[in-house]
Amino acid sequence: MKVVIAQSDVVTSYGWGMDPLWSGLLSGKPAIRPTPWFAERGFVSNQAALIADLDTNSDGSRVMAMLRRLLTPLAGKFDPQTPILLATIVGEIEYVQRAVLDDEAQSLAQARPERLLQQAKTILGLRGSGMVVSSACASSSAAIALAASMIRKGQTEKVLVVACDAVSEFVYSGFSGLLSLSTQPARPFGADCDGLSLGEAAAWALVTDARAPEANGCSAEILGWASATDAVHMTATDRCAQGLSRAIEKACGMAKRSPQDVALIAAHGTGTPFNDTMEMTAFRAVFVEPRPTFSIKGGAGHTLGAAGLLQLLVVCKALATGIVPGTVGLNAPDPLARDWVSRKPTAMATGGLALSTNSGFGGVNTAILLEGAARS
Amino acid sequence: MINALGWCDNQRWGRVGPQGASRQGTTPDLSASAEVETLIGRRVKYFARMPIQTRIGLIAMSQALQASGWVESGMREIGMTTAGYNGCLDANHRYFRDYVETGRVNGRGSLFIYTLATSTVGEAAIALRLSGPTLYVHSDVAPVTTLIELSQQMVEEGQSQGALALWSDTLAAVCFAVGAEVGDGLDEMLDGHRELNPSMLTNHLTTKFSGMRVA
Repeated sequence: MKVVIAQSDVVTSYGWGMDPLWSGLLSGKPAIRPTPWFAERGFVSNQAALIADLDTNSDGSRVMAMLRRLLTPLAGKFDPQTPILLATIVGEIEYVQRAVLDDEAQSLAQARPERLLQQAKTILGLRGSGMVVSSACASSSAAIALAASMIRKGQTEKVLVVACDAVSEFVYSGFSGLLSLSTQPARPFGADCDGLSLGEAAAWALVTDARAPEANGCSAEILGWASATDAVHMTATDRCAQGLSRAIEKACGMAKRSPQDVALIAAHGTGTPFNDTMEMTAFRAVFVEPRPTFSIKGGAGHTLGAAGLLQLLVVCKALATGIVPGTVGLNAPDPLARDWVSRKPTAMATGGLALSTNSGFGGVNTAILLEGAARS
Repeated sequence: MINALGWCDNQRWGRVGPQGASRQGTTPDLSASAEVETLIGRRVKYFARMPIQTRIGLIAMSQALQASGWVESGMREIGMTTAGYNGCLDANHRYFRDYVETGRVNGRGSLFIYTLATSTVGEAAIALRLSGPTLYVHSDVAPVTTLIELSQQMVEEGQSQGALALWSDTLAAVCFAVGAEVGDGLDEMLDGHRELNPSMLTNHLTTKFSGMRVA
């Protein structure tokens, strides 16, 4: 059975919709800027990829503000029994902050992701099953894989995957404490890369059986997926990159395709030297020759639980247009990434497959293999 | 489907394997790493500085793994799924309170890393040397049944050879070892009880298996 990404939408620091994100990435200009938000704190950076026109009210969360605007046009459009998977790492984390800063212990319960899931279901008019999915920075790629698995197993014809995470003092202070933030907009795979830039985003994708009516005009088929854990360290990467290598090989195995069929790689590419080196080590271990490889995090920032879905939607666009975006922020590539990454967009080899990878804390690695719908 | 069970709360730990062979004991002082290492069967780096829910979850997972017999057969590609958000919420609150109380300058990394919903299974992967997928998945309908079914799906799909499904709270955790082969009645033994919260389920298991033969 063929599983496809049938419909989707997104909001990032580039703006509302796929067009601003795509044209932003092609322009090579980052949507990461200095923010005055945490000026009084002692953080190592002030850079963030924020959504400028977010309508947040005094007691709401930023992710809910994103989802309200993104999902409201979809109200009543889907069968009410459509299963929904909500991918997030921190969700409505403002309620945890409020519980501490305002000494409002009762706020804590409002930070539960199940509550956010319920709110999304209410907006959409969904009454079927719902699940919160979280797997660190691979959360939304794990959710897409789970949706594809449910459809391929015949449990359902379609699954709505929603992903979101916002910039917050909670997350910013944590990454600052881990010394993971760059003082400038992130420069993934660059010789001068020195950290990530936090960003925020929300996205949804309707994953369906290719025979579903909603699949008309879809851009990509999900051929294979896999996940594997490093089992090395909670925050540090596996220098041998065995987890990611295994995930890529297993995804190709599920798809019954060779890694040599891969024509582009959408990498996690956070901009931290540890992550980017680990990824390039895995790619070099799996692929005989370099492949056009890019990261969107130099443009849209690291959007945590939304990162995987954002990447996949960019891959869908790349498959549809035959253009591989450049890596925004890249100056000179790191020696390991030379001949793989480029600042400028390049043409994709005809008929090739696309690979999207994510890695995160706890040693999680995911790989998803896609093919352009027109060619599948 | 369920090959083995492991559980732990602040008073008792227990496990039951494929043939119903079970073992139980009193939960050791969770800050005393030597006793805990005996129970888990290996040295666990930084155990005493993990949040309490991670320590309890890790013991429950180690018990399910030992009872499953998978390690003896050389199986290492084991997936880890988890549900239950109370522990994560507690870790989030603890991290941010510490950050505020220490002057709101920088977060403490050693607390921040436990704010993930997958922290416990991430630590379990390292401690128990397991390399399958790790995933938090909480269904709004029958979370435990869903967790076990998705773990089974992970195995059937070839993502892992077996899966440890952890249902946990701040002070109690139950782990189901889910394999491809049919279990020996452990699924049926849970009927009517599997959707209990972790504390009630550990109490149920402690009582149910208290008179059974020792593994």
